[in-house]
Amino acid sequence: MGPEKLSEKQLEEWGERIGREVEPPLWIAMAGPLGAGKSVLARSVCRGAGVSSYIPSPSFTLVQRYASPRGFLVHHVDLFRLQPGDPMDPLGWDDLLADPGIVLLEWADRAGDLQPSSRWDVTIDYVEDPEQRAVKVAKVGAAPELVEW
Amino acid sequence: MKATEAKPRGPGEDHAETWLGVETSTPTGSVAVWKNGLAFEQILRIQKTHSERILPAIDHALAMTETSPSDVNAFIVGAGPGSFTGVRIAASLGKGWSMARGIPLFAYSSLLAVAVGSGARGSVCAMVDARRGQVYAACYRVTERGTTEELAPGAWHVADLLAELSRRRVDPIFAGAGAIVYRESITGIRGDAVILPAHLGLPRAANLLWLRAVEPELGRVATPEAWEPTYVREWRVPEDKR
Repeated sequence: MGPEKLSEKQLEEWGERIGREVEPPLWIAMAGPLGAGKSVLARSVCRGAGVSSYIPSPSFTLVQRYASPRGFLVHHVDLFRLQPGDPMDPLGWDDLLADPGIVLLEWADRAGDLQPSSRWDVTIDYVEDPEQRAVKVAKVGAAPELVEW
Repeated sequence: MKATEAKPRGPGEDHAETWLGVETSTPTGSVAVWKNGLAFEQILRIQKTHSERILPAIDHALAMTETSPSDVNAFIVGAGPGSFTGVRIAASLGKGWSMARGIPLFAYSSLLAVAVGSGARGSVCAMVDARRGQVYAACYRVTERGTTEELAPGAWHVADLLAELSRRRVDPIFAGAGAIVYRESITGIRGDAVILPAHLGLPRAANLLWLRAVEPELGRVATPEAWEPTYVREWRVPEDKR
Protein backbone atom coordinates (compact mmCIF):
# COMPACT_ATOMS: atom_id res chain seq x y z
CA MET A 1 0.00 0.00 0.00
CA GLY A 2 1.47 3.36 -0.98
CA PRO A 3 3.65 5.23 -1.22
CA GLU A 4 1.09 7.76 -0.03
CA LYS A 5 1.85 11.34 0.92
CA LEU A 6 0.52 11.89 4.43
CA SER A 7 0.60 14.90 6.70
CA GLU A 8 1.56 14.42 10.35
CA LYS A 9 -2.13 14.59 11.26
CA GLN A 10 -2.99 11.94 8.68
CA LEU A 11 -0.15 9.74 9.93
CA GLU A 12 -1.49 10.08 13.48
CA GLU A 13 -5.02 9.25 12.36
CA TRP A 14 -3.81 6.17 10.51
CA GLY A 15 -1.83 5.03 13.53
CA GLU A 16 -4.77 5.50 15.87
CA ARG A 17 -6.98 3.53 13.50
CA ILE A 18 -4.43 0.70 13.52
CA GLY A 19 -4.32 0.66 17.32
CA ARG A 20 -8.10 0.71 17.51
CA GLU A 21 -9.01 -1.78 14.79
CA VAL A 22 -6.26 -4.31 14.19
CA GLU A 23 -6.49 -7.78 15.68
CA PRO A 24 -3.10 -8.71 17.14
CA PRO A 25 -0.63 -10.33 17.14
CA LEU A 26 0.92 -7.67 14.94
CA TRP A 27 4.57 -6.76 14.44
CA ILE A 28 5.06 -3.38 12.75
CA ALA A 29 8.60 -2.96 11.44
CA MET A 30 9.29 0.73 10.82
CA ALA A 31 12.16 2.07 8.75
CA GLY A 32 13.07 5.57 7.64
CA PRO A 33 15.58 8.34 8.35
CA LEU A 34 15.90 10.19 11.63
CA GLY A 35 12.93 12.47 12.26
CA ALA A 36 10.81 10.99 9.49
CA GLY A 37 7.91 10.11 11.79
CA LYS A 38 8.41 6.58 13.06
CA SER A 39 7.85 7.66 16.65
CA VAL A 40 4.78 9.68 15.65
CA LEU A 41 3.28 6.57 14.12
CA ALA A 42 4.24 4.38 17.08
CA ARG A 43 2.73 6.76 19.62
CA SER A 44 -0.44 7.02 17.55
CA VAL A 45 -0.84 3.25 17.47
CA CYS A 46 -0.42 3.22 21.26
CA ARG A 47 -3.06 5.93 21.63
CA GLY A 48 -5.42 4.09 19.33
CA ALA A 49 -4.96 0.94 21.40
CA GLY A 50 -6.10 2.94 24.42
CA VAL A 51 -2.79 3.81 26.07
CA SER A 52 -3.55 6.95 28.04
CA SER A 53 -0.28 7.35 29.92
CA TYR A 54 2.74 9.38 28.84
CA ILE A 55 4.52 7.65 25.96
CA PRO A 56 8.23 8.48 26.15
CA SER A 57 10.75 7.72 23.43
CA PRO A 58 12.29 4.29 23.92
CA SER A 59 15.59 5.48 22.43
CA PHE A 60 17.32 5.13 25.78
CA THR A 61 15.22 2.49 27.49
CA LEU A 62 15.13 0.45 24.25
CA VAL A 63 11.69 -0.97 25.11
CA GLN A 64 8.57 0.59 26.57
CA ARG A 65 5.66 -1.69 27.37
CA TYR A 66 2.03 -0.66 27.77
CA ALA A 67 -1.10 -2.56 28.71
CA SER A 68 -3.90 -1.85 26.27
CA PRO A 69 -7.45 -1.85 27.60
CA ARG A 70 -8.17 -3.98 24.54
CA GLY A 71 -6.54 -6.85 26.44
CA PHE A 72 -3.05 -7.10 25.03
CA LEU A 73 0.37 -5.50 25.46
CA VAL A 74 1.88 -2.89 23.18
CA HIS A 75 5.69 -2.94 22.99
CA HIS A 76 7.44 0.13 21.63
CA VAL A 77 11.00 -0.80 20.69
CA ASP A 78 13.81 1.38 19.32
CA LEU A 79 17.00 -0.19 17.93
CA PHE A 80 18.66 3.14 17.06
CA ARG A 81 21.36 2.87 19.70
CA LEU A 82 22.30 -0.73 19.01
CA GLN A 83 25.51 -1.46 17.15
CA PRO A 84 26.30 -4.47 14.96
CA GLY A 85 26.98 -7.45 17.16
CA ASP A 86 25.23 -5.95 20.19
CA PRO A 87 23.13 -8.47 22.11
CA MET A 88 19.40 -8.03 21.66
CA ASP A 89 18.46 -10.48 24.41
CA PRO A 90 18.13 -7.76 27.07
CA LEU A 91 15.24 -6.42 25.04
CA GLY A 92 13.52 -9.74 25.63
CA TRP A 93 13.71 -10.37 21.90
CA ASP A 94 12.52 -13.96 22.08
CA ASP A 95 9.56 -12.92 24.18
CA LEU A 96 8.71 -10.10 21.76
CA LEU A 97 8.65 -12.63 18.93
CA ALA A 98 6.14 -14.74 20.81
CA ASP A 99 4.03 -11.93 22.21
CA PRO A 100 0.35 -11.98 21.24
CA GLY A 101 0.07 -8.19 21.32
CA ILE A 102 1.46 -5.39 19.15
CA VAL A 103 5.19 -4.78 18.65
CA LEU A 104 6.18 -1.40 17.23
CA LEU A 105 9.79 -1.62 16.11
CA GLU A 106 11.72 1.50 15.11
CA TRP A 107 14.89 1.13 13.01
CA ALA A 108 13.65 -2.33 12.16
CA ASP A 109 16.18 -2.76 9.36
CA ARG A 110 18.83 -3.21 12.06
CA ALA A 111 17.18 -6.43 13.18
CA GLY A 112 17.46 -7.89 9.70
CA ASP A 113 16.17 -11.43 9.45
CA LEU A 114 15.74 -11.76 13.19
CA GLN A 115 12.27 -10.34 12.73
CA PRO A 116 9.23 -12.59 12.48
CA SER A 117 8.13 -13.80 9.08
CA SER A 118 4.66 -12.29 9.58
CA ARG A 119 4.64 -8.51 9.96
CA TRP A 120 3.92 -5.16 8.40
CA ASP A 121 6.90 -3.38 6.86
CA VAL A 122 6.35 0.37 7.09
CA THR A 123 8.68 2.87 5.42
CA ILE A 124 8.41 6.58 6.15
CA ASP A 125 10.51 9.02 4.15
CA TYR A 126 10.86 12.72 3.48
CA VAL A 127 9.37 14.35 0.39
CA GLU A 128 9.85 17.79 -1.08
CA ASP A 129 7.02 19.26 1.01
CA PRO A 130 8.35 19.34 4.60
CA GLU A 131 4.78 19.05 5.93
CA GLN A 132 4.34 15.64 4.36
CA ARG A 133 5.93 12.20 4.35
CA ALA A 134 5.90 9.36 1.86
CA VAL A 135 4.50 6.32 3.65
CA LYS A 136 4.54 2.75 2.38
CA VAL A 137 3.28 -0.36 4.10
CA ALA A 138 3.47 -3.99 3.02
CA LYS A 139 1.91 -7.02 4.66
CA VAL A 140 4.38 -9.87 4.95
CA GLY A 141 3.42 -13.46 5.66
CA ALA A 142 0.35 -14.19 7.76
CA ALA A 143 0.13 -10.76 9.42
CA PRO A 144 -3.30 -9.14 9.88
CA GLU A 145 -4.82 -7.38 6.88
CA LEU A 146 -3.62 -3.81 6.39
CA VAL A 147 -5.67 -0.94 7.78
CA GLU A 148 -6.49 1.73 5.19
CA TRP A 149 -5.05 5.22 5.56
CA MET B 1 12.46 -40.50 40.72
CA LYS B 2 12.57 -41.70 44.28
CA ALA B 3 9.46 -40.76 46.18
CA THR B 4 10.17 -38.00 48.69
CA GLU B 5 6.98 -37.36 50.56
CA ALA B 6 6.64 -34.51 53.02
CA LYS B 7 5.81 -35.49 56.56
CA PRO B 8 3.10 -33.53 58.37
CA ARG B 9 4.64 -30.93 60.65
CA GLY B 10 3.50 -28.44 63.21
CA PRO B 11 4.36 -24.77 63.42
CA GLY B 12 7.68 -24.11 65.12
CA GLU B 13 9.04 -27.55 64.30
CA ASP B 14 12.64 -27.49 63.22
CA HIS B 15 13.12 -27.85 59.49
CA ALA B 16 16.68 -28.93 58.90
CA GLU B 17 16.25 -28.88 55.14
CA THR B 18 13.96 -26.10 53.97
CA TRP B 19 14.48 -25.21 50.34
CA LEU B 20 12.77 -22.91 47.90
CA GLY B 21 12.80 -23.73 44.19
CA VAL B 22 11.87 -21.44 41.30
CA GLU B 23 11.69 -22.30 37.62
CA THR B 24 10.68 -19.64 35.05
CA SER B 25 12.50 -20.58 31.86
CA THR B 26 9.30 -21.31 29.93
CA PRO B 27 5.72 -20.00 30.06
CA THR B 28 5.10 -22.79 32.57
CA GLY B 29 6.73 -21.38 35.67
CA SER B 30 6.65 -23.00 39.07
CA VAL B 31 7.52 -22.53 42.70
CA ALA B 32 8.14 -25.35 45.17
CA VAL B 33 9.01 -25.72 48.82
CA TRP B 34 10.91 -28.63 50.31
CA LYS B 35 10.76 -29.40 54.01
CA ASN B 36 12.68 -32.63 54.39
CA GLY B 37 10.65 -33.68 51.37
CA LEU B 38 8.50 -32.00 48.76
CA ALA B 39 5.91 -30.01 50.70
CA PHE B 40 4.32 -27.74 48.12
CA GLU B 41 4.41 -26.89 44.44
CA GLN B 42 2.48 -24.38 42.38
CA ILE B 43 2.57 -24.34 38.59
CA LEU B 44 1.80 -21.14 36.72
CA ARG B 45 0.94 -21.56 33.05
CA ILE B 46 1.08 -17.96 31.99
CA GLN B 47 2.32 -15.73 29.20
CA LYS B 48 4.68 -12.88 29.87
CA THR B 49 3.93 -12.24 33.48
CA HIS B 50 6.38 -14.29 35.55
CA SER B 51 7.83 -11.03 36.83
CA GLU B 52 4.42 -10.03 38.19
CA ARG B 53 3.28 -13.42 39.47
CA ILE B 54 6.32 -15.18 40.82
CA LEU B 55 6.75 -13.17 44.02
CA PRO B 56 3.09 -13.56 45.04
CA ALA B 57 3.48 -17.28 44.23
CA ILE B 58 6.48 -17.50 46.54
CA ASP B 59 4.53 -15.68 49.27
CA HIS B 60 1.72 -18.17 48.81
CA ALA B 61 4.06 -21.16 48.86
CA LEU B 62 5.72 -20.00 52.08
CA ALA B 63 2.37 -19.25 53.70
CA MET B 64 0.88 -22.61 52.75
CA THR B 65 3.85 -24.43 54.24
CA GLU B 66 4.05 -22.15 57.30
CA THR B 67 7.56 -21.22 56.33
CA SER B 68 9.27 -17.97 57.19
CA PRO B 69 11.74 -16.57 54.63
CA SER B 70 14.41 -16.96 57.28
CA ASP B 71 13.67 -20.72 57.46
CA VAL B 72 14.80 -21.22 53.86
CA ASN B 73 18.33 -22.57 53.90
CA ALA B 74 18.88 -23.20 50.18
CA PHE B 75 17.54 -21.55 47.03
CA ILE B 76 17.33 -23.66 43.88
CA VAL B 77 16.72 -22.26 40.41
CA GLY B 78 16.30 -23.51 36.88
CA ALA B 79 19.33 -22.23 34.98
CA GLY B 80 17.81 -22.31 31.52
CA PRO B 81 18.02 -22.45 28.61
CA GLY B 82 14.67 -21.00 27.68
CA SER B 83 13.13 -17.58 27.42
CA PHE B 84 15.89 -15.02 28.05
CA THR B 85 13.58 -12.88 30.14
CA GLY B 86 12.19 -15.84 32.03
CA VAL B 87 15.56 -17.36 32.77
CA ARG B 88 16.77 -14.06 34.19
CA ILE B 89 13.78 -13.79 36.53
CA ALA B 90 14.63 -17.01 38.38
CA ALA B 91 18.35 -16.23 38.23
CA SER B 92 17.87 -12.74 39.68
CA LEU B 93 15.62 -14.05 42.42
CA GLY B 94 18.01 -16.83 43.34
CA LYS B 95 21.09 -14.65 43.33
CA GLY B 96 19.38 -11.87 45.25
CA TRP B 97 17.89 -14.15 47.88
CA SER B 98 21.06 -16.18 48.28
CA MET B 99 23.28 -13.13 48.70
CA ALA B 100 20.87 -11.22 50.94
CA ARG B 101 20.25 -14.17 53.25
CA GLY B 102 23.68 -15.75 53.02
CA ILE B 103 22.35 -19.14 51.98
CA PRO B 104 23.62 -21.47 49.24
CA LEU B 105 22.37 -21.15 45.68
CA PHE B 106 21.90 -24.22 43.51
CA ALA B 107 21.23 -24.09 39.77
CA TYR B 108 20.28 -26.97 37.51
CA SER B 109 19.64 -27.02 33.80
CA SER B 110 15.98 -26.50 33.04
CA LEU B 111 16.35 -29.28 30.47
CA LEU B 112 17.60 -31.61 33.19
CA ALA B 113 14.49 -30.66 35.18
CA VAL B 114 12.39 -31.76 32.20
CA ALA B 115 14.28 -35.03 31.91
CA VAL B 116 13.99 -36.08 35.56
CA GLY B 117 10.38 -34.88 35.74
CA SER B 118 9.39 -37.08 32.83
CA GLY B 119 9.38 -40.10 35.10
CA ALA B 120 11.27 -42.00 32.41
CA ARG B 121 14.37 -44.03 33.14
CA GLY B 122 17.21 -44.51 30.68
CA SER B 123 18.04 -41.99 27.99
CA VAL B 124 15.80 -38.93 27.88
CA CYS B 125 16.07 -36.10 25.38
CA ALA B 126 14.58 -32.93 26.88
CA MET B 127 13.45 -30.30 24.40
CA VAL B 128 11.90 -26.88 24.78
CA ASP B 129 10.86 -24.61 21.95
CA ALA B 130 13.62 -22.13 21.09
CA ARG B 131 11.58 -20.54 18.28
CA ARG B 132 12.81 -19.78 14.78
CA GLY B 133 12.57 -23.46 13.93
CA GLN B 134 14.88 -24.58 16.72
CA VAL B 135 14.72 -26.34 20.05
CA TYR B 136 16.89 -26.13 23.11
CA ALA B 137 17.76 -29.74 23.76
CA ALA B 138 19.94 -31.94 25.92
CA CYS B 139 20.06 -35.67 26.62
CA TYR B 140 20.51 -37.34 29.96
CA ARG B 141 20.67 -40.88 31.24
CA VAL B 142 18.34 -40.88 34.22
CA THR B 143 18.50 -43.49 37.00
CA GLU B 144 17.18 -43.71 40.54
CA ARG B 145 20.55 -42.54 41.80
CA GLY B 146 21.00 -39.54 39.56
CA THR B 147 21.70 -38.39 36.03
CA THR B 148 24.48 -38.44 33.45
CA GLU B 149 24.66 -35.92 30.63
CA GLU B 150 24.77 -37.55 27.19
CA LEU B 151 24.39 -34.39 25.10
CA ALA B 152 25.02 -30.93 26.53
CA PRO B 153 22.36 -28.23 26.22
CA GLY B 154 22.34 -26.60 22.82
CA ALA B 155 20.11 -24.94 20.23
CA TRP B 156 19.29 -27.32 17.42
CA HIS B 157 17.20 -27.74 14.33
CA VAL B 158 15.36 -30.97 14.98
CA ALA B 159 16.80 -32.81 11.98
CA ASP B 160 20.34 -31.89 13.03
CA LEU B 161 19.64 -32.95 16.60
CA LEU B 162 18.34 -36.35 15.53
CA ALA B 163 21.34 -36.83 13.24
CA GLU B 164 23.67 -36.04 16.13
CA LEU B 165 21.86 -38.48 18.40
CA SER B 166 22.21 -41.19 15.76
CA ARG B 167 25.89 -40.41 15.38
CA ARG B 168 26.30 -40.81 19.14
CA ARG B 169 24.16 -43.98 19.09
CA VAL B 170 21.80 -42.43 21.63
CA ASP B 171 18.20 -43.58 21.35
CA PRO B 172 16.23 -41.50 23.83
CA ILE B 173 12.66 -40.96 24.82
CA PHE B 174 11.63 -37.38 23.97
CA ALA B 175 10.10 -35.05 26.56
CA GLY B 176 9.22 -31.39 26.79
CA ALA B 177 7.24 -28.75 24.96
CA GLY B 178 9.76 -28.71 22.11
CA ALA B 179 9.08 -32.37 21.42
CA ILE B 180 5.35 -31.63 21.30
CA VAL B 181 5.79 -28.69 18.91
CA TYR B 182 8.06 -30.70 16.61
CA ARG B 183 6.34 -34.06 17.02
CA GLU B 184 5.82 -34.50 13.28
CA SER B 185 9.40 -33.61 12.46
CA ILE B 186 10.66 -36.13 15.01
CA THR B 187 8.39 -38.97 13.97
CA GLY B 188 9.01 -38.13 10.32
CA ILE B 189 12.66 -39.01 10.86
CA ARG B 190 12.27 -41.60 13.62
CA GLY B 191 8.98 -43.32 13.06
CA ASP B 192 9.22 -45.25 16.33
CA ALA B 193 10.13 -42.26 18.51
CA VAL B 194 8.43 -42.15 21.91
CA ILE B 195 7.25 -38.62 22.73
CA LEU B 196 5.90 -38.14 26.23
CA PRO B 197 2.71 -36.14 26.75
CA ALA B 198 2.96 -32.46 27.59
CA HIS B 199 2.27 -32.81 31.30
CA LEU B 200 5.32 -35.09 31.68
CA GLY B 201 7.60 -32.60 30.02
CA LEU B 202 7.48 -29.58 32.30
CA PRO B 203 10.62 -28.07 33.84
CA ARG B 204 9.03 -28.05 37.28
CA ALA B 205 10.52 -26.53 40.40
CA ALA B 206 9.79 -29.78 42.26
CA ASN B 207 12.21 -31.53 39.91
CA LEU B 208 14.89 -28.98 40.77
CA LEU B 209 14.38 -29.77 44.44
CA TRP B 210 14.71 -33.49 43.76
CA LEU B 211 17.97 -32.78 41.94
CA ARG B 212 19.17 -30.79 44.93
CA ALA B 213 18.39 -33.81 47.11
CA VAL B 214 20.17 -36.43 44.99
CA GLU B 215 22.89 -34.41 43.24
CA PRO B 216 23.77 -31.41 45.37
CA GLU B 217 27.27 -30.91 44.00
CA LEU B 218 26.04 -30.87 40.40
CA GLY B 219 24.06 -27.73 41.07
CA ARG B 220 26.04 -25.97 43.77
CA VAL B 221 26.91 -22.39 42.79
CA ALA B 222 30.24 -21.41 44.33
CA THR B 223 29.91 -17.66 43.82
CA PRO B 224 26.31 -16.54 43.38
CA GLU B 225 27.32 -12.95 42.59
CA ALA B 226 29.30 -14.12 39.57
CA TRP B 227 26.96 -16.84 38.37
CA GLU B 228 25.08 -16.46 35.09
CA PRO B 229 22.33 -18.68 33.77
CA THR B 230 22.64 -20.78 30.62
CA TYR B 231 21.40 -18.90 27.58
CA VAL B 232 22.92 -21.18 24.88
CA ARG B 233 21.87 -18.83 22.08
CA GLU B 234 22.13 -15.09 21.79
CA TRP B 235 20.27 -12.63 19.60
CA ARG B 236 22.69 -10.08 18.18
CA VAL B 237 22.32 -7.18 15.79
CA PRO B 238 23.44 -8.57 12.43
CA GLU B 239 26.84 -7.35 11.28
CA ASP B 240 25.73 -6.44 7.79
CA LYS B 241 22.76 -4.28 8.71
CA ARG B 242 24.53 -1.02 9.58
